[in-house]
Amino acid sequence: MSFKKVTTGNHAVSYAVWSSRVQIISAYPITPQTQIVELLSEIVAEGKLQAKFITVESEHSAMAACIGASATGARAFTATSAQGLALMHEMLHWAAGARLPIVMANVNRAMAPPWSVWTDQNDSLSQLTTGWMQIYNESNQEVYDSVIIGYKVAEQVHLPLMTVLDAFILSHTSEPVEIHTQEEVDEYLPPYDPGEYYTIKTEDPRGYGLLTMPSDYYEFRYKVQRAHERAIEVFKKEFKNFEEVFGRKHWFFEEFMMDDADYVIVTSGSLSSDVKYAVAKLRKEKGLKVGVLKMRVVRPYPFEEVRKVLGDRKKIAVIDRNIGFGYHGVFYEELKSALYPLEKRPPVFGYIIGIGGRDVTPADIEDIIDDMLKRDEMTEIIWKGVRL
Amino acid sequence: MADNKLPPSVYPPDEEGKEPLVFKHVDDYPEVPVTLTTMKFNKTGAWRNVRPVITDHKVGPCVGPCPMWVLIPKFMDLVVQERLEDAARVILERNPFPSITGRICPAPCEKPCNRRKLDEPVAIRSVERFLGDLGVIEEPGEPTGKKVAIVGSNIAGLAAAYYLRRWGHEVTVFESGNVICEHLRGREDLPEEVLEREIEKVKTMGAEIITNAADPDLSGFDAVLYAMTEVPKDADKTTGVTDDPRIFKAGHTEPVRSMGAAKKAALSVHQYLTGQEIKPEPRPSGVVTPSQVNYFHFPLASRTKNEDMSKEEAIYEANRCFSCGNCNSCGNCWVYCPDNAIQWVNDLPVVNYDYCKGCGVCVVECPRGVIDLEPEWK
Repeated sequence: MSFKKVTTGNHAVSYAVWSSRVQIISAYPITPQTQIVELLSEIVAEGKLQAKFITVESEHSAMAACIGASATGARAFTATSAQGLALMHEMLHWAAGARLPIVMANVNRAMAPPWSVWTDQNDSLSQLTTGWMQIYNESNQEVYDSVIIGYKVAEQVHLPLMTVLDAFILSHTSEPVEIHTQEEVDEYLPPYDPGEYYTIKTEDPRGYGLLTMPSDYYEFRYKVQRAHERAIEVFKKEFKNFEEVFGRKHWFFEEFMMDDADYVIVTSGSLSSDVKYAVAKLRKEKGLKVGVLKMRVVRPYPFEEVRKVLGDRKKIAVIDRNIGFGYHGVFYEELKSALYPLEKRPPVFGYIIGIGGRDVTPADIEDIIDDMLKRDEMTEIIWKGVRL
Repeated sequence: MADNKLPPSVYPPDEEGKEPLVFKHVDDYPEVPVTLTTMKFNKTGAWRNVRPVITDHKVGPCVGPCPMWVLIPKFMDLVVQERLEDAARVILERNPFPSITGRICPAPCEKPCNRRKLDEPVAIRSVERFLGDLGVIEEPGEPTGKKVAIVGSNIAGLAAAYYLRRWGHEVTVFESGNVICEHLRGREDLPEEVLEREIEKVKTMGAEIITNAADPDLSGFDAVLYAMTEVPKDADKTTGVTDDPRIFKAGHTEPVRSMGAAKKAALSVHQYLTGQEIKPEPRPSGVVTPSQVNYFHFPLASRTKNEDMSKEEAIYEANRCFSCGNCNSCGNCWVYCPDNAIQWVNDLPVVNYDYCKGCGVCVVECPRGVIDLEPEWK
C-alpha cells in the first residue's frame, strides 16, 4: 500500500530513485541539490538499496561515471544544479549520443554571475539541444512520479532524461507526497534490459563513439532525433500505464480550466500554482474565460498536442522564468514556432518574470492577464517585476 | 527530404573471406555508435613509450633499517589475511627471536614508516611481539655433516646457532659462565620466561649449549664463530671473515644489532662450509617513498597503544600497514585501468602489454608503490 509522506522535492527524488532500484549513483554536491544525493548516500550505506554510490571530484566526472555505468547496462542516476549542470555539458552530449538512458534530477537554479542559489530555468534550458529529454515539475508529487516515468521511457527509447524542479520552492519545501511500495513500482518499472548494442562486454571489446567520417556521422544524429520522435508515442503509452498502476494522470502538459478558455496562460514549474490561483480568482470574480496550460515535457517537444489545445484560442500569454539572451523567453519562442504552421493562430505574448528566484505572486499574474487583455499587436519581450 | 541517390557507405571486411559491411539505409547502421566487430585487432600497446611493471622485489622504508631486514609489509599482509602462523614464519626467516626483539628492539623500522605522513607509524614491534609469542618453531635443515662451534651464548651466538641449525650444520655453543645469555637477564622489558622460551627453541632445533666452558677445545670443528657483545676489531663488519678462513667473528653492543651481525656471519660460515664464495646478502633495494604511496586510498586510523596485543588488535594494526611495495591483490590497478589491460591471474594483476598504452594510471592508483613505470627505450 502506498502512503502519504510530507517531504521535500529533493527527498521525493531520492525516494523515487530508491524505488526505481537504481544501481549506480554518482554525484557531486551543489546547493540546492545536495539533499537528493545525501539521502541516497544514506540509503545506500544502510544497505536498503543495492547500489554503488560513486563520489567524484566534479559534475563532469559524475556524469562520466553515470555514462560508464549505464554503458555496462546498469541503471544510473545523478543530480545537479546550475553551474554543476553547465560543467556537465560535454558529458550531456555524450550520454545522449551514446544513447544511454540515464535519469538526472536538475534543480533549477540561476546561473552566475552574479552568484545566486535561487530558482530560474536558464540552467536546464541551456541544455535543450544536447539530446536529453526534459520534464518540468510543479509539485513534489510530480517530482516523484517523473523519475519513475523517466526511467520507463528513457530505457525504451535509449535517451537520457532530465527531470527539473525549482530551487527551494520545490527542492526545500515539504508537502504531502504519495510514496509507493517497492512492489507497486516494480510492477510498473521492470529491471533495465540494455539489449545487444548497449552493453559493454570486456571479453568482446568494441569501439564506442569512435571517429566517424562525414559519410556516416549524419545517420547517427538522425537516429537521435528519430528516438525523440518515438519518445512522444512512448510517453503517451507510459502515461496511461502509470495511471493504471498508480492512479495519477500525467501528460505532456496539464490543462487547467481550459475547456471554454478564450485566453490561455502558458506556464511551467512551481509558479504554475500562482497562475492557477490567479486564474481561478479572475474566473470567479470577473467571469473571465481564462485557462492555464502548464508545460511539462519540453524535449521531445509535443508539437501536435500543443497545437491541438492552443490553436483555437483568442490570446495566449507565455510566462518565462528564464531569458534566452538576445532573443526572448525560451518557452515563448518555442510555443510561437510550434503554432506557426497553423492557418489561424492566436497572438502570443511573452512575459519574463521571477528571474533569480524573485518572488512571483498571484497579483503579478493578474497584472499579466490584464496586460494581455489590453494588447492586440504581438511585441518583443514584456518585462514583469524588474525595476524599469 | 531524404536522399536515396547517395552511394552506400562500404567498409572492406576485416578478415579475408568475410563480406564487406555495406550501409545503404539509416536502418543498416546500429542504433548506437558502436563498431560491429571486435576491436581486439587494435593492439594499442604499440602506442606505449613507457611500460608499467608490476614488481615483486620492492620493500617499505621499514625493511632497510631493520638489522635483520625482516620483510615487514609481507608479514603484515599475512596478518591481515589472518594467516598468523605463516606471518610468524616470514619473521623467523630473518629474525629467530621475535618474542625478544618484539620487546627490546629500539624499532628503527617504525621511524621511517610511510604511515607517519598520514597519522602515526604502524606499531610494528608490537605486532612482531604478538606473532613471536605464538611460539611457532621451525624444523632444522637436512644434516650437512659439518660441525660449527659458537663461542659465546649471548643473543648473537644464539641467533647464529639458530640459523646454522636451519641450514643443517651441527652446532655447539660454548658459554664460559654458568648462565646462558647473561647479558639480557634482569631487564625490566624482557621477562625471564620469554628469554628461557627462546633459548629452549634453539635447543629444540638441535643446538647443544655447554656452560662453564671457559677454554673449550675447538680443534674438532669445521668452523668457529665468535659471538661478541661488541663490534669485533679484527673481522670484516659485513661478513665476519677474519684472517683465519675457519674463524668468523660477529657482535655489537646493541643486542638486536648484534643479532643482525651474527646472522650475516652465520651466512658466511654456511657459504664457507658448503664451498661457496663468501658474499654478503644484498641490501634490500626499491624502497617505496611517500611520493609513491597513494594516501587517498587510506582512511585515518589511530595507532594501537597496547603493546601486548590481542589477535583483533594485531589484525587491526596490520590493516594500518600500507603494505608498501608488497602487492596484496587489492585490485585497484584492475579497477582503474581505463583500457582493461590489467588481467587478473591467480589473484594477482598481470599487465597485458598487447593493449596497455602506458598511461600510468595503475602506477598512480596503486596505493603501495608496487608498480613502476619504466621507459620502453633503453
